[in-house]
Amino acid sequence: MKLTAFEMHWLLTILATIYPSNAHPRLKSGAADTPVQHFFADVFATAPWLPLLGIRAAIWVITFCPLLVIGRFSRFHKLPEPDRLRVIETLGHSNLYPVREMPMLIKTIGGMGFASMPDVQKQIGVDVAVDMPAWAQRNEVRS
Amino acid sequence: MSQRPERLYDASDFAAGVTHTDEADVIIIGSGCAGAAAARVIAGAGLDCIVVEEGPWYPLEKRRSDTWTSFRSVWRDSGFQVARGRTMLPMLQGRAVGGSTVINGAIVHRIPEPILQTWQNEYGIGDALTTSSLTRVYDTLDAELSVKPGPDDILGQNNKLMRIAAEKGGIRSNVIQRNVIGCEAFARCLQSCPNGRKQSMDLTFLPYALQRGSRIYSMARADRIVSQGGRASGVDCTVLAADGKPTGARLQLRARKAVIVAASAIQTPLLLAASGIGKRSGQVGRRLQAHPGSSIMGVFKEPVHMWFGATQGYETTHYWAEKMKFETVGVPPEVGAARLPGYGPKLMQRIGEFGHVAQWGAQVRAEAMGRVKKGIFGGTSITYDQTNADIGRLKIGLKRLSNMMFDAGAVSVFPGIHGMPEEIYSPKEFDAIDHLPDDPRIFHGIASHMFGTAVMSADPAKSVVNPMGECHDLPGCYVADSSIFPTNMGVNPAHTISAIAWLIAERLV
Repeated sequence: MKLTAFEMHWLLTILATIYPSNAHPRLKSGAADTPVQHFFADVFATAPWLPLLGIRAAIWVITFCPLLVIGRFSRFHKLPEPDRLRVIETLGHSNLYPVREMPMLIKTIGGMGFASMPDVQKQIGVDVAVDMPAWAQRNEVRS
Repeated sequence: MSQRPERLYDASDFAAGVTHTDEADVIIIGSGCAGAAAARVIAGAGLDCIVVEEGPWYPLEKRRSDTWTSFRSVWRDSGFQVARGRTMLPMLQGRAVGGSTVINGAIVHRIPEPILQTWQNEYGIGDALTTSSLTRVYDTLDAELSVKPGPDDILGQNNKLMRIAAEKGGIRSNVIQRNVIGCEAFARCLQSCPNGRKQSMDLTFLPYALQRGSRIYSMARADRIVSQGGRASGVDCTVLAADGKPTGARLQLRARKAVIVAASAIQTPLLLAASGIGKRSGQVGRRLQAHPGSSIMGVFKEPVHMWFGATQGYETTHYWAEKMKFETVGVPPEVGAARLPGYGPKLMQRIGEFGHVAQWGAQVRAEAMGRVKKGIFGGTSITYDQTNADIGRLKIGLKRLSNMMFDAGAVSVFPGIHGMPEEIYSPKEFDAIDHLPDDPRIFHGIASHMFGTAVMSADPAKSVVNPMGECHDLPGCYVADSSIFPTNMGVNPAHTISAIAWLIAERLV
C-alpha cells in the first residue's frame, strides 16, 4: 500500500499543524523541516494493511471534515493555519473515541518520524549521540 | 555477534520451490525466552536441537537508536499489533531471533508465591512446578544472564525520582533486577539495545546452543505440527521473505524425540489450532490474559533527561496484592512526543521542554480474558476487553502514581486521560478521575505480557497441556511458553517463562 502524491501532501499539512515550526525558542524545527515524507513512505512500505488503512482514513477524514467541525466549507490544507489547528484540536478533544483517535494516530506515528531526527533531538537538548534513522539514511544515499 | 554465526541459517536464502529438510532430536518453535531456554538445556545435555524462528536475525550493526527502525525490523506487525475490544489496545511483542527479549525492558522477576500456590492448588500443577525446582532454575538463570540491580551511576533521574517518591511515601520499592552487562545508560532497551548490553536470548542462550551444534532457521514460520504413530514427529514451515511474504520455499523439520512449541501466547494457539491439537478441551486460544497499563508524565524543575539511564530501572510492587505494579518507563523524544498533551504550538512548547519530563507506568493484573484466533483475512485476530474492575484499578493506580510524582517534586503532571485537564498542578486535581466512567477508552493504554491461551492443568477436559507441558492430545508435543500459564502474574514474566521452559526441557534429556 502506498500513499498517493495528494494524500502525502494532505498528510504533510496535517503534520505541520500538529508539529509546527518555530514554536519554541530552542526547538525551531517542525515536521515540515524534516524529511518526514520518507518516513511515511517507509511506514507504508512496511506496516500491515489494517493500521495503514486507519492512517489513510484519518488523513481523508481530517481533510474533508472542516465543514462539519468548524463550519468552514474548505478542505483542511486550504484553511489558514489557526483554523487548521482548531480542526485538529476539536477532533482531538471529541467525546467520540474513534474521532479523537484520528489526529492522535497521526500525531503518534508522525512523532516517531519527526522527533527521531538527530537534529531535532539536539534542539530538544538530547546530549547523547543518536543515530540517523535507517529510513532517513537510505534517502540520504538516494539523493 | 555481528557476523552471522555458524549454523544460524536465514531460510529466506533458500531457493523458491525447493523444500529444505532437516532432522534433530528436538525441534523448538520460537526463539524467545522460552524457546532459547529450552535450547540451552537440550543443547547443554548434548542432544541435537533445531530452533525455528519466524523473524529475522538482527545483528548489532543493523540496530539504530530510533524507535521506528526497531519497530519495522523486529516488532510483530511493525509494532502495530492490537487487540480489539472497546479500544484498539496495542499488544507488544518481538518477532526476531531472540523473540521479545530483543525489545523488552530486561526486567527480571520471580513468580510471586501466591500465584504459584494458586496454580498448584487450583490447576493440579502439584509437583511439576515447585518452589524449590523453580528457585534452582532461577538461580542458574540469574548467574548465566548476569541478573542484578543496576548501579546508581546508570540509574538516571527518571528512576531516581521514583525512588525519592517511594521513600517519601513509605512505599516499598526497589531498583529493578535486570539481565544486563555493562549497561551504558543509553535508555534504548525497547529499541533493541543497539549497544548489545542487554543479555537477550540472541546474545546468550542461542549462541550457546549454536556452539554445541544446534541449528537455527530464521524467517521460517511454523504452519503445522505433524505426527506419526500418534506422536509429534516434526514441523512444516513456510519460508518468509524480508517483507513477511512467502518466498515459495518450504522447510520440513523432523524430530526424533519431541517438538517444543514456544511461540508465545499469541502465536502458539494459532499453531496448535492449525495442527488440530487441543480441540477436545475447547481451550485453545481462549483465556488470553495480560497486564494492561497506562502511564503519566510529570514535569520537573530540574532536568530529568529520560534519554540517560536504564529504560526501566525502578519499580514498586507495594500494591501487588491490589493487582497493580508501578515502574518507570523512560522513552526517547520520538515516543514521548505523542504522549505529551496538545497539538500545535502548545505541543511544541512541551516537546521543547521534554528534558524536564519523567514518565512512570502502572500495569494491572487484569481479570479480563480475551481470545486469539485466525483472522478472516488470514492474519491474527485478538479480542481483549478490560473489565470495569480492571479499569477501576488502573484509575486508582494512576492516581497513586500522580501523588508520587508530586511527592518527588513535580511541578505539574500530564494525566493523559480523556475527560481530565491536560495538565494538573496539585495531587488534589487528580481526584477528577473518580468522576470518570470505568471505560478503557479514556486512556491511552498498552498491554504487554500475554498468558493463558493453551492452559496447563491436570484435567484434560479443561486444559491443553498437562503439568509437564505435554499436550494431552499429542504425546511428544510440548508447549513451553506463557500460553500454558493458568493465570497472569502481576509481575514481568520473562524470567518465569524461561524457568518453566527450562524445567520442561530438563524432563526431555
